[in-house]
Formats: sequence, structure tokens, C-alpha cells
Amino acid sequence: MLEHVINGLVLGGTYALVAMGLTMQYGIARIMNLSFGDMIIAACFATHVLFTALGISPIAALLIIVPASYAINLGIYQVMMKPLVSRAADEGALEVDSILLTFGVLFVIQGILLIMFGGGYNSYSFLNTPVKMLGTVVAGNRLLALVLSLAIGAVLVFILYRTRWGMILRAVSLSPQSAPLFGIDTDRTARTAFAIGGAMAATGGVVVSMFQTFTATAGVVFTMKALIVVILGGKGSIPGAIAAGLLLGLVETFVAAYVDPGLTLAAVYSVFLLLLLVRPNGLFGKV
Amino acid sequence: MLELNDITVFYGKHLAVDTVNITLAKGEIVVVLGANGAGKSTMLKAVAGMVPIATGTVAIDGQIFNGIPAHQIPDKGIAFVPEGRGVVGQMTVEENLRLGATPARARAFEDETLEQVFDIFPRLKERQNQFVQTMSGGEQRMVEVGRAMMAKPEFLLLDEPSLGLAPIIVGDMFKALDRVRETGVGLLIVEQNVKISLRHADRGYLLEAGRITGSGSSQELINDAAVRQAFLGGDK
Repeated sequence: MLEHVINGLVLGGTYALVAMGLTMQYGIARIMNLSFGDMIIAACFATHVLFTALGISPIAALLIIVPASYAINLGIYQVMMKPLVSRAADEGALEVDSILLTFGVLFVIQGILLIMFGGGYNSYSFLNTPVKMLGTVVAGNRLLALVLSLAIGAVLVFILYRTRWGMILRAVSLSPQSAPLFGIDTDRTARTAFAIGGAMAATGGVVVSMFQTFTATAGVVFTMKALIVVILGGKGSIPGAIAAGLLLGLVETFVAAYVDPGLTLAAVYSVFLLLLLVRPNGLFGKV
Repeated sequence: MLELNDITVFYGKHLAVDTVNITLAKGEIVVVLGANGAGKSTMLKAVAGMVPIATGTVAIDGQIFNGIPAHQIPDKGIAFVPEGRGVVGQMTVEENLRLGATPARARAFEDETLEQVFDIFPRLKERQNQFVQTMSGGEQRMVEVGRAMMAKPEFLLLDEPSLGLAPIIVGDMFKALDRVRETGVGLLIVEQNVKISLRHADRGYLLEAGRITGSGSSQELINDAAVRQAFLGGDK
């Protein structure tokens, strides 16, 4: 039982992490990024290669992959998203355009990964040592994943709620029309938020790859789950993303353990539907 | 000195502001009177960089600055309080005020200006941790003005500060604006509430269908027959 709670929190922690990233991109930059999960998978493979070919530990790999991902996402925004933002008549138009564009990006990333690594299952063994904790046994890599998710989530929450920079990010998310009155450059803020979101996807990828097998085509599942977490938590809400992420991880783990592993996705959607019926704007959504 | 020189602004295809000239000195309150749709709001938005100026220039002390993006305007020393949407409702009073000090010119004075704002609007100090959207209309107006002050402006542009407020609150608001003026800020106020705005202003302009049709000291305008006819309801 306790084992499932811990495993559920580990999984949920990574969901919360990647959902925070998607929330940064969707809530602040207003880009609906369908290639989000594929960026996670790309980071999984990058960690895999760095670890197995070069012997760089996934922890050290974070220091390479996360900044690289930030830079790549800045580039993607500048080259591909910026023209859409400039021409978009309103928020709805930007949403449709960005969905179409990132749908294409999804296939490009997936195609590159398929050519390089094929379609099989991949995993590597890192810190796969049992750790005794609270009367049960957990794999060391899972524990590390949980600690990393919590730590990075806490840093993000601190930045958003305790620094001027975070206030600026939230202001652009909550009220893009009034942000310029405060002297806030919404374009630059959107670009930064998009890049941070991408960096968080990469962080999630590194963390997930430590304890889960992954395939080149699994990106879309991550995108869907991150999307569910974001909508469930309330669009743009960071506390909501954390709560919904943990909830989803627990539901998945418990259904897999006590009901049937084949029903996890069905269970996730049921929770999603039920909660949205009760709270159409998500757990922490604005009314 | 803030100067609007022959500015012309289109609202869509409609000519909203037609070769308007207005000056505003520091420490002065100037009111622009006009009916709905006279182009008052569009004129302020144009100065704030939110709608493009077709022809003409806007300058501070001779330095022309029109054409720059809206988010750079606060750093030029101009703060704009639009009619609604001037603050972030889902953030607290203090967050909104501190966020107002985002322009580089205002950062160093943040705490000092915050005290000044709390001094002029004690209600905001009491409610500093409250979310703005849960406050009354008058209190939200105070946050908007306070937020604009936080940018350390030389000139403050206000679009209908009295709109939607109870008469007693309107009086308080204008008294507060008097105190903002005492800090050396010049205020350009666009109003439909002619009586109270002329009582607090030094000078005024009349804007009709996008053109300036009259100007003068507040006393001259109060005594002006045309103003009395159009705005003050005849002989009242």
C-alpha cells in the first residue's frame, strides 16, 4: 500500500513537473505546444546517450540538457512562433495556429528520434539500488526522481510568487492587456516563458528516463497527460498543476496495482471527466 | 513639459483625434472635457503608445518619443490609467503596486514610493494583501492610480477617474489627485464629470468630434456660456 503511494507520488511528481512546463508555455506564452511530449522524449534519449555512451550521470546531464533545451526553445519561439504571434488577430487565432505548427514539430522530432534510435523500448540502469524507507522498499532512482521534481517545482513556485520576475510572468499570464502599462515587455516575457517551459519538459524527460522505459513514439502520451493535468489544475495555475499531477500519478499507480494496468489511461480520463463536470474550470481555475 | 503637437489618430478608419495641441506642465492638473465619443480616450491611448499616432508628435521637454512600443512609455516618465483593466485583478494590492515599479527609473524608489501611495490612499495599506478583484470599484480605482504612481512618472494620464464611482468617492478621488499633484506630477485628466474636474484643475480643453474647440483656465471655462450650455446643464 505505502509502496504504491510512494510510486504514485514519484509518477505524479514528474507529471506535475512537466505540466508546470506546459502551463508556462500555454498560460503565459499562449502557445498550445503539441510537441511538448516529444521534447520530453528527446531529453530521455539525450540522457540515455550521455549516460551509456559517455558515462555522464543523469544528474550531470541535467546541467547540459536543461540549458541546451532552454536555448533550443528560445530559437524555436523566435523562428517559428514569433511570426504566428505577430500575425494573430486574437488569442483564439494564436491557439489554432500554434496547434497546427507544433503538430508538425511533433512529427519532425519523432521522425528524427525514430531514424536515430528506432522504435524499440529503451532504458538504462542508474541508481537502481533498493532503499528502505517507512517500512517499504523503493528504487533509489525513483526516490531521486521525486526529490528532483519537488525541488524544481519548489524553485519555480518561489520564483513565481516571491520575485519581481515571477510577478511579471504572472501578470502577463493573468492580464496580458494591462501588462504594458506596468512597463512589461509581453513579447520578451512570452519568449522567456516558452523557453522555461521547454527547459522544464527537458528536466521532466531526464527525470522520467531514470526509472521508466521510453520509446520514440511515446511523446504524444506525455503531451496528453500534461494537458490533462494543466486543464484539471486550472489553466495557468501552478498550484493546480502540482495538485492535479500528484492526483493523476496516484490514480494511475493504484489502478495499475489493484484493478488492471491496462485500465490506467481509462481511469485517468474518468477522473478527468468527473472533475471537470464538478469544476469546469479545474481545481484551481479562475471562474 | 508634455506636449501634444498636432496629433491625429485614427480609430479603425474613423478619424478620432484631429490635429490636437495640448500642453501639460509638471505639478499641473489639466482636464480635457468632451462628450462620449469625442476622442478623449483615443487621445490618451495614443500618448500611451497603445494606438498609433498617424501624424504629429508627442514630446517631453522637446524630446519626441511617439512611435515607441507601449511598454517603453512608463520609462519615459508617463503613466497611464485607462478606463478599466489598469491592474491585475487576480493579484494582491501590494503585488500590483510593486509591479508598478517595474520601469528602470522607478526601481530604486520602490519602497519610498510605496509609502507615499499608502500615505495618499490609507485604505490600500489596510488592504495590501487583498486580491484587487474582490475590492469595490472605488478601491480598485485607488489601486490603479497607486500603481501608476509607483512608476515614478512625471506625467500621469487618467481616463475618467470618476467613472462608475459614488459621488462621495469621486470627491475623495479628486482630493487624492490633488495630493498626487503636490508631489510634482503633472496630471492630464479626461472627464465627463465637468463640475468636479474643473474645481480641481488649473486649466482645461474642450474636445468635440476629435478637435479642440476651446481652452482656458478652469475659472474661464466655468463661466463660459458654451461650456455651461453643453456640460453644466444651462444656468445651474
